[in-house]
Amino acid sequence: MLSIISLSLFGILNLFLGFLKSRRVLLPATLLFIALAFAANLLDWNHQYVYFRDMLRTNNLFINFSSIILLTTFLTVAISRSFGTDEEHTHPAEYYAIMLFSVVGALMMVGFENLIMLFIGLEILSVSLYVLTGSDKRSLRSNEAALKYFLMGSFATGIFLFGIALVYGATGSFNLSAIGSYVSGGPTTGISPLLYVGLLFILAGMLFKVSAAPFHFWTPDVYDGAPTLFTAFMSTVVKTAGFAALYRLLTVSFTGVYGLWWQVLTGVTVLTLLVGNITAVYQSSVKRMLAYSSVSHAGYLLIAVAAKTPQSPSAILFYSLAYSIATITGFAVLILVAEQKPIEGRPDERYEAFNGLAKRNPLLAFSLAVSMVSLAGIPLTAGFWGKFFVFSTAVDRGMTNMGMVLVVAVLMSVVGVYYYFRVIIASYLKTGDSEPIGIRPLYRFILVLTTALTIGLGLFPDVVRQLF
Amino acid sequence: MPVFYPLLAVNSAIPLSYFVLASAALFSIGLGVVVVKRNAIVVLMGVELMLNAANLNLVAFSRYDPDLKGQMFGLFVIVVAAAEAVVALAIVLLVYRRFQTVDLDEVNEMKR
Amino acid sequence: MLTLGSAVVVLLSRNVLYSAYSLLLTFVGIAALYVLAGADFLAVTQLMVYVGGVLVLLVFGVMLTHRGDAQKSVAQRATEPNVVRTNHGRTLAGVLVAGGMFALLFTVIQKADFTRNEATFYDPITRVSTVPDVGIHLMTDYALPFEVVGVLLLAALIGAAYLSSIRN
Repeated sequence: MLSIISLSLFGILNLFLGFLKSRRVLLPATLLFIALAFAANLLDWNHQYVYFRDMLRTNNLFINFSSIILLTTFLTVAISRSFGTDEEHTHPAEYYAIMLFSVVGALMMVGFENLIMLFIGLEILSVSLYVLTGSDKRSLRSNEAALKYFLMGSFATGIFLFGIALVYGATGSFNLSAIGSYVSGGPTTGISPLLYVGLLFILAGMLFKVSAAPFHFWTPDVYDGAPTLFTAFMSTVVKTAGFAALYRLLTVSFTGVYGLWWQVLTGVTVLTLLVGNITAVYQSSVKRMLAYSSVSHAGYLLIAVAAKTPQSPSAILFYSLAYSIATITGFAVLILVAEQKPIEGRPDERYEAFNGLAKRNPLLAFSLAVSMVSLAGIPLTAGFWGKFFVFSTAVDRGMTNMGMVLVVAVLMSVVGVYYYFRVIIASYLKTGDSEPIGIRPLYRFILVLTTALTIGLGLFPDVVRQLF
Repeated sequence: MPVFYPLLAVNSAIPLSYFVLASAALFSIGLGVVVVKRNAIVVLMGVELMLNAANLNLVAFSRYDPDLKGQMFGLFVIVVAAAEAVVALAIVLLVYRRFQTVDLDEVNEMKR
Repeated sequence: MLTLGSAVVVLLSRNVLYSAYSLLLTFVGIAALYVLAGADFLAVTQLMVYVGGVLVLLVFGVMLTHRGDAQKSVAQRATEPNVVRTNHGRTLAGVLVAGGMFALLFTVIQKADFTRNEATFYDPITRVSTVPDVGIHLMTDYALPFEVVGVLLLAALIGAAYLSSIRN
């Protein structure tokens, strides 16, 4: 709770800092703000609070999820640079403030106890992201991505809201536990059909936001068109928050109708895994490949949600952590590499741009390789354990229910290895330009940190897992 | 001294299902607008229709709720919809300045 | 009826401005329905925010994004009917989706037993006006969303101002 309040205030403070002549203050100030919020977040460890008449609930699960969100935001802000060099087009104060606000929204999605908070949190996150997507005003692609994202996103909001309205009509409450007790308590006249349709609508809206197939069609265009930094932000923070919200909603409120939604979710999971992985193979741009791969990772996360075992939250947590760190590293390297040789005024994001990267800058190539290996789920990296924990929840649920999903997931992981390794092969085995790429110290520090985290979590997963 | 509104006295005469049906129809029309229309602003109108339909549902259901929860939610929805419309118009203007059109079929830089 | 009829016009009209005007009628109709449902405060808010704000914004959007034909002179353009047209695409899909959705909702609503609602929830409104209740709720139960919506508005404001500022 303290973290939410402090982030809102820091966002406003950031705007005022924008008035200062020196823009150098902004980056360290924002990093400091996020670190402070992180600390404030940890203060509540092992306490349970319910705030403002059942609007928010904080517990250890909330703190874990919000720590991941804050950590990814910290990393994203740290790899952000001056957003261009000319005075005219850069408004870092606005970017940072909107990013902080969107994190407020994400935290509310994690800790909501009332559907109002979920709705408002989702909207804060979405509205901020529409703006951030279109923030590169000179780029046609960024503008187009913003328009598409907005239209699709608000469409999903409409469906989501209608679902909430129907659930309210059936249960008479927005409170998660009240809905939960209605659903599992079994009212005398049976559960109203409005509830089922409402639940389906809510699911459609949420799945849309986390870009699961068949609601993923906006993802490649939007992720491709948005400035790469914000693509990294979107594909990590939104996913973590979205899955936290989805899991919370489904387990607290709708456990009673598990029989209905696990079938829907497993269907969506299989479709997501297939579509995400197979289309990713055919991409020629690394950025688009990462966009599709984020669709497929939504599929893996959905497995843990659909399985709904006691281990599910920790599996989701670990997977989001591993995925977020690896994705941020991947995008960070992509930003640097793509800038080197622009084609027609925009960064070169094709696979060929990575040729010979190992010679140009060994650190970049190594951290890229580690992050790709982690995303592919090879042992000794965090991604492997993420996949392992997710699959084990499915095994716990039972092979009769989850067998098909597991088979598809394992097969698709193999497909994933192919396209992730294309990048590694390009950077290590192929020859390209030889001019070295320079990195700033902070950037270097972040890359080393994320790579170390990925390997560290791969070697000693229990360290973090005990916290979850 | 409370003022008596005659209109409010009639309200119980209309069954709830009529409200819900009207809202379902509105929602479907909004959905149709979003799918069919190719002008970004008209699509936005469709989205507004969908939000309004949901709101109508909330209000109608809240008639049977002593806490007026539905109405409160509806109030927040109106605020959110207004905020969304503002951002939408900003984005549409931005796109128009770049592409000289708001037709969604023509705004297609990425496929080229 | 008025509400739905004008909503259909939004769907059918090719002229963007006609769509906007019929949207106005729809919003007013919904406000009337709110009054009938006993939500007078919300009805007034609906009128002020939607009719007074959102709709004006939309009409502004239509005007600002209307591409005049640059080849023609001002005099020529003045004589033409001033219409902004929108293209229809995927009409069949649209009709199918909308019709299917309505059919689904219709059957569900037919099945749903609203009499249970009437019996268990609350006897229909006997209160006089909802304004005091809404105010009290806003400051007690809903204080947190009330504050947080401020963050949303601030973010939207900054974002919109940033996106639409012309500094190219």
